[in-house]
Amino acid sequence: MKVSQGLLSFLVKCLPTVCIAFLILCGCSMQMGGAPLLPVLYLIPVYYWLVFRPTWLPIVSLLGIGFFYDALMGRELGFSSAILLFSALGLPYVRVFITRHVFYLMWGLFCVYSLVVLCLYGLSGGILFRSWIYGISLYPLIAWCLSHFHVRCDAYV
Amino acid sequence: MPFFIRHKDLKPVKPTPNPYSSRLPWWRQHMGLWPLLCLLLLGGSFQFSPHFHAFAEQVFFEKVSWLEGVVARPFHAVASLFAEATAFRQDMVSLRSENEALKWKTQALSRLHAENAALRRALHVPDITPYRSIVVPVLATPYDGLHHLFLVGKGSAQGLIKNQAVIVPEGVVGRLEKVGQEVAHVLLLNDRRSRLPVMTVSSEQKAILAGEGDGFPVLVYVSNTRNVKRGEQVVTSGLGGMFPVGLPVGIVEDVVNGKIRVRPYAPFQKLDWVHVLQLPATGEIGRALEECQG
Repeated sequence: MKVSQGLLSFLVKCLPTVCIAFLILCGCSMQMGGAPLLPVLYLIPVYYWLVFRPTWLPIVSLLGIGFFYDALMGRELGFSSAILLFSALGLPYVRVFITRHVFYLMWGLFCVYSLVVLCLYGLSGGILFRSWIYGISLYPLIAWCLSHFHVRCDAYV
Repeated sequence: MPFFIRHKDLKPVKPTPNPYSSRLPWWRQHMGLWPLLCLLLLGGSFQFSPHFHAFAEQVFFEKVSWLEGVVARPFHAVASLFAEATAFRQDMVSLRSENEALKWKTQALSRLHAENAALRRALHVPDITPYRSIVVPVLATPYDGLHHLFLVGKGSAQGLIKNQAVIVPEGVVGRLEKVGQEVAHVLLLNDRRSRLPVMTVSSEQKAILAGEGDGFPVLVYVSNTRNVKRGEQVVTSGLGGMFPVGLPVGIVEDVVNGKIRVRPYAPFQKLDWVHVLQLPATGEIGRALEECQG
């Protein structure tokens, strides 16, 4: 079957959104020692794509992901969307730090970003700390997967 | 192979307020404004039109939870298959012995049952009809550090209604918060938004059990906290008509500075199936429903 280049490019650009939605679906029940993985788990791909490929994660997708997360978690509809929209405003400024030896800096900036977002979500105390630690520990693994995914998708766009 | 793939375009990119090219059509250039407008409208509706906000929440919940149900159902089926396969033989042996014991007990109880019915008739005490319940599987337990929910695999198509009581043999689990066509959200007792009218058994203190977000909900609006003792049983009071009277809820864990913490009986982490009570609507809720129907 012959697929036009435009359609292929569009489908590839949809993949980050689908990947985040899938991560939310799979991670919604996960917790370790009473601390949830999810808010930070889904922030990892959001951060990655907003920093490395902001055009693949347009604002409309972020709005949809926010609604999706709120509806699944029983939160006030629109709260996560607002957080993600503010992320979309702020995270492109991290792009100035993209250099050759960048990984640890990106990781550090993610730690700060995720901590701020967790506080905005209203987590506090031990749950906040443990959830944050789990999330930033998972960042290298997920970022490694996403970077492979990114490089392969680049070939189609 | 490097741990982290280095990207080919290594030059620093200056941040731009609009990541889209200026060659895009005008309606796409302003696309970023639409989500903000939507959010403002949604926030406004939350503040000024709760009905519209509730409608929007219900629509999103229906779509999203259906998707979650599709993803979670196969995992649940496989997990329960493994659990059943391992515990099957052991369960069969214990169930057989339990069945034999229950047969003897039923024979003994049948005489008492007839006697009880005769006495009720003589004393003009109305019959207590046993509550019907629907058994529903727990598909997922979404948890984000604040909200404690279950996603269950039945909805309004199977007769579930919002605010119905959800129980297990050990005790009360919570109530149905949102009901979709095929799935529903159960708000657990320990969620911050949960409020349940209860009473203590020994000291007979009526109170409201309020979730705190951790494993121990607290009793509030207790008239005399000094009477409540550690280890006392807490049951539903039946006020409000949402839950029947006398369902076991938990025991008083401790009383510190007037704060009474309760340990729920229901083992929230181990539940695969729950019962949704099909109660006749009574009290304020029943009257409200009758008014709506009228």
